[in-house]
Amino acid sequence: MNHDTFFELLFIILIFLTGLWAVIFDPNLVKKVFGLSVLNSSVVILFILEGSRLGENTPILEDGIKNVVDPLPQALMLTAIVIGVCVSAFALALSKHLYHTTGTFNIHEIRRKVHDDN
Amino acid sequence: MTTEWIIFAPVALPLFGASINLTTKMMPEKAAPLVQRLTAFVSLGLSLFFLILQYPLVVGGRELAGIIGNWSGPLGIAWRLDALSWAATVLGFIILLLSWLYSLGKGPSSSTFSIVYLIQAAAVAAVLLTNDLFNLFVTLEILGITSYILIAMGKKEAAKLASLTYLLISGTAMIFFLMGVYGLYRLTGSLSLPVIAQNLTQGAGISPPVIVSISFIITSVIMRSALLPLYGWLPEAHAQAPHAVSAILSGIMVKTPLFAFTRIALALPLAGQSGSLLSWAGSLAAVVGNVIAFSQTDIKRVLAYTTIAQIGFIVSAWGNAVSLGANHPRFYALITAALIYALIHALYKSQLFMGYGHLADALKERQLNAMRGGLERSLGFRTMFLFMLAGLFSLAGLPGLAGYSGKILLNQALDTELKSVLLFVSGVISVALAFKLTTPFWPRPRSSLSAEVGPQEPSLRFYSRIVIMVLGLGLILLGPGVDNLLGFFSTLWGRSVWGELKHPSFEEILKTVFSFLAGFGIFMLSQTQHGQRLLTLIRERPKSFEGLFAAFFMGTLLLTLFFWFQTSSPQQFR
Repeated sequence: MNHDTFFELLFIILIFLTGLWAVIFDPNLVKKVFGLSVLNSSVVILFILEGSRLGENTPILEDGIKNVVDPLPQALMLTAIVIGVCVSAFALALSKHLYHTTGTFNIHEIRRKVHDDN
Repeated sequence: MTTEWIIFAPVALPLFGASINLTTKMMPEKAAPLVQRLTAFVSLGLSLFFLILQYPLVVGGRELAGIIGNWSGPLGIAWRLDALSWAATVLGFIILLLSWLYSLGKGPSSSTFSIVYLIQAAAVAAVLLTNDLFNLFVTLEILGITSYILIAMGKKEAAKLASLTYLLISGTAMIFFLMGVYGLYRLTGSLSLPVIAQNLTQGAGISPPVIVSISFIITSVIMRSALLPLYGWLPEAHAQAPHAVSAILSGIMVKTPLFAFTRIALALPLAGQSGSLLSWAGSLAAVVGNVIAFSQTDIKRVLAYTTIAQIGFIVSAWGNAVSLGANHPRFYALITAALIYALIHALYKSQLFMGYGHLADALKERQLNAMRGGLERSLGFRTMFLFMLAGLFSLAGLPGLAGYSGKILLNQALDTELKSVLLFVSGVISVALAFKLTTPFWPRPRSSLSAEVGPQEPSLRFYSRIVIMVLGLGLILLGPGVDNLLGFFSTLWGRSVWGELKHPSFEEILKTVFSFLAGFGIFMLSQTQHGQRLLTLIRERPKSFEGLFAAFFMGTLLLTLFFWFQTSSPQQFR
């Protein structure tokens, strides 16, 4: 069990770092937004992994189903995914708007152009 | 059951109002704005009414708690109403209502604005009621999303960039918040604060994963409050937002996460000790924020940076109180001082944003220097500016007005000499700032006298005027009236804060006089060539997007190290 967990955690950390890298360092706005989305996904997987330690079956309690995984993290993560989708949608709309007015997705150029108008 | 309805009214009513506002899109053009305004006004007003009804439930330091929807134990979301959260919600809704009234005359009038505004009001109430970590995540995210949308409604393109930047840093912070929740859930099997606290003290104990989790949670929440060093997102966000939105951002949106932090800090073991670190960060922020504010030339950026400084003021006392813990005899006195200061700041900052925002629009100019002689050009604003002097003098801390009373109270809530010195320096710069903000009073420089005065923007509409006047009157009344406030809070907490907070001594009056002279001196110095060069240097310091994240990681690291030292060494340092 511990051996499996190690690789899973490593996988999650890799996804997390990829998302974090994109948000901080990639100059393209769209990639930043998707980086945030990837970050979100990594935490979702982390929670689901935690919940899966408890049991084996899908937590739908029909007759004869026992030994289900912890349903609470899954419920939480549904909410987190929904919030993530809303944030991504709004962020992409903002990026699109900025692209139309400045002609670029590059955050450094947008910053320059936008502050030159001040 | 009725009690729960009263308690949750401030969450439910604005949401209900928002949904009615959504239906106005289907109504005929003439009726829609009327329905929007009526619904919004009724939702916000009724919420305040229900909040007043809640007073008997919390007076005397009582608290109510429960689980939403009658779910049992670990499956339910815990809520809690206590005197502190009640006071915070009342403050929040007063400012929300006033800013909304201002927006009737001045701000965005789209239906989207009122819908999102109302949802934000509901989110404020929800953040202050929740006692469950995941629910806190959800409500903070709603607060955030509504803030991003409202900020993006600013007129300039920079507003969209400011909103996006805030979104990215805040979204990342919330991911770390979730990881902190993960850490605590893993060890305690629960998301509700009281249960986690119980588990940590009795069972699991404070281990490194717990320390890291609590650090993540606290830093993420504090990031929303823009405490040094996590303030990078605030100047642009507050400066570019529509004026009514700037008012609520500076007035409530940066303080609500502070209350959420307090709940966490008072509930979880170890978390409260972060208060001492935050208190120092606050004192530093007070100086840094005001210095940078003084270097700015854009009027809204000046105001935005002073918010950072004032948050520092508030947290200096607040952090101190939290680190002492709710059972300490001085806790309520310190919290009252910080709370009154927060109230006064909300009043004058909103007023300044509203007033200067309108002036900037009327003159089509946001650079302070170019606003000289502005009052001649903007007819009808002179009376408004008189009321705004109450705000300006509150910023400076002129005796007799609310700002001074707030500062005096706050000074008594500090624990070390060094913090008092830092806040004094910050106060001196506030005076210089207030002088700088009187620029529109000055006559125009001769060189531009021949310039044409363009067509006037229509003067400030009725509602906006009323709000600015009401805020000014409030500030004037709160100067001497702060005693009444202290009495009110004594009744609210159920214990006297009188003995702790005294009237200003002669030494304090002397310090105030000195600070005014020094502030004036600094202002005159800044007008010289060398002064201008130094200010330009400060103003044009390199700022980067990556820097926001560096600050966040640094803050988390500092807090983790701080906790680690606290738990491994036998004595606590302050």
